[in-house]
Amino acid sequence: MTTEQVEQKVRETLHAVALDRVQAPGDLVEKVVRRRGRRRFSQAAGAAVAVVAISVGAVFGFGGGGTEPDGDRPVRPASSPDGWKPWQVNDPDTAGNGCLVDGDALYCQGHKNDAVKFDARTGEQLWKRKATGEGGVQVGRPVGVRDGVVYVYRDHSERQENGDQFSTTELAALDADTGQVMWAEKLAQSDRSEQAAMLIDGAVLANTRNFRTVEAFDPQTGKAKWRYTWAKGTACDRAALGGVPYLLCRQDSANPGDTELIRLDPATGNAQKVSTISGEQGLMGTWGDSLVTVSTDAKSRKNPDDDTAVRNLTVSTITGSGEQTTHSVRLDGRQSYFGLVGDLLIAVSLKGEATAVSLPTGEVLWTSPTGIELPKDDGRTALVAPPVVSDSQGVVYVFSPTGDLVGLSKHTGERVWSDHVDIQPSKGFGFGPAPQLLRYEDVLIAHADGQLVSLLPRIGD
Amino acid sequence: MKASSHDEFREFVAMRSTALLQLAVLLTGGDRHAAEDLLQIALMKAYGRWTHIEQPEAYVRQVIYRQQVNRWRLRRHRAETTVPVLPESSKDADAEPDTELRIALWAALGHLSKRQRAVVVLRYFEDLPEAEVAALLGCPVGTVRSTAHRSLTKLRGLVPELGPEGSTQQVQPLSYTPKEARG
Repeated sequence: MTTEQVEQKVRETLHAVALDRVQAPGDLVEKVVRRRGRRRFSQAAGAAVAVVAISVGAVFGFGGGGTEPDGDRPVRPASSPDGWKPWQVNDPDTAGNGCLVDGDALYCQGHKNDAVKFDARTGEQLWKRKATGEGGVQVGRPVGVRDGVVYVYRDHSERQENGDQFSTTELAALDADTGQVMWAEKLAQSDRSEQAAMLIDGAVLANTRNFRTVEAFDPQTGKAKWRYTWAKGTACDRAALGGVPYLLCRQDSANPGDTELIRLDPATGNAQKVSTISGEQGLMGTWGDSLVTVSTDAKSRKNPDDDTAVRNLTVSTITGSGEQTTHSVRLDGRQSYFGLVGDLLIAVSLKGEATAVSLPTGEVLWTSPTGIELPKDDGRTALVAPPVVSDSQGVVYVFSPTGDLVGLSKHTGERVWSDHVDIQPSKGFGFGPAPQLLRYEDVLIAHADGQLVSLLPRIGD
Repeated sequence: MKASSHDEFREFVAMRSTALLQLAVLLTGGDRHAAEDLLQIALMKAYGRWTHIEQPEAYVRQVIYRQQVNRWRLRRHRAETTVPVLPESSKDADAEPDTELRIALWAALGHLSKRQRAVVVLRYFEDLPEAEVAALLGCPVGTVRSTAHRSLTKLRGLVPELGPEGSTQQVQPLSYTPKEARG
């Protein structure tokens, strides 16, 4: 072809790209403003990687809880969704393992059911899918709901050569309207965490075949679209940012060295190394367009079972392009909970004291007694549910395994609401899996040991 | 930023972000996430200078292009590992020859360097003359011309159906006939 002909072919090719499928996300302005705020903070710290020393726990005695930029902002009273009324369900068989809210629906997994759909407004059971395998008490909540399909973990039974039944885990896609199984795929291991399967752009990504492989499946048919296997001797955490899967990979050894951030194309599975992050990083979760990782120093790793030992953590936010911001966090003693809650790092101590740290800035925002007493047994202390935050109300909610519910102002830590729900303790209660707290708009759904209580926090009434 | 300026920025993003993202998708060879990253960076810069910008779209486009080239400069020691996403990529057995050629070309475009792709998109998608491309990228016209030439040479190497430079012979199985002409 002549140069002009090739130019014409290139022109036609570029104009033939299906750009009409490319739509900008609706929250682009928020992403831009938030990202710019992080960059400005990083620049103000005088380095590409900003390190801010903060501490959580005893230091508050002289720190006074840090700055409070939004201290005057009031919390907003809760309002009930249309058609909602308080309700309660007590049935471990249908809700014993974990739940997920999607719109007006509540999907749960129970000891004898792979999935149960409730009306989140009334607690009415809409359908249930009985467990095909042995069922049981393996902790696992539905993976997610999208386009009329709910994805759940369930038992996958295989008969071994000696005739014994052997149960592992599979990912199943169910019709959200009927509970009918659309497809199922055996997973590589019985991991039912958030990393075992996740929704990505145009596919469902799951850990299949072996410990080192993720595979993307068509959401409707379960047909495999691509798979990616990382190198032997490597361990990778997985998360999705804006529908794009990322891997945080490090050597699978006692001294794993640095961590590599790898992006997988959601359409093809092609891998692209984005950056190398110093040290061993464990995935904590995602916030906006960033992965949040945590690492500990060698001293902190020495005494993992010591309730009083100080733990020095490094928490990092890493964007999809590898831009990294790092904060140092000190935890004085073992915590009942430490994790990511919206744009806050929340720690709840064994004494029931909550602390909030701003993830964007690393500032300690407040520390506050929750008033919750955590039960102890044989030297162990029960776990609180992962707290939830209502940004629109400006409230962080904490739920204890004994039924205590507390609302703390997100901006000041002030206790603005408390309640107690009747949870009947069962054998081993409080020392098994942590309870769960869910939000259905302003309504809270407290879940412990198969007991669900839906209530509206009456703040400011 | 004043509330009114913030609203203007929000309105601009609402109106133009999809078109700008589509441009970024072309520049990144179909890598949707890298494209959004590129657009976010450009919008971030625009947001910081919003009250001083007279032509927001031109400004954001320029930042997108230059950012792409700067990224190439910063990361030139790394191998290009772009991820082509095929446009309407039906690989059916009965796909028409021109469709097959487009698919092959689109995949090949993903193997160009970011600077080459930027020049190709400006010249053949935006249809800008070389002088305007040079002004946008902040480089001499000669650099634009040579980059375009090298890009086409590389594409010929990646897509044999295009034939060697200067050849006028059409490769029959993949020759392109405009749809209108086929009736």
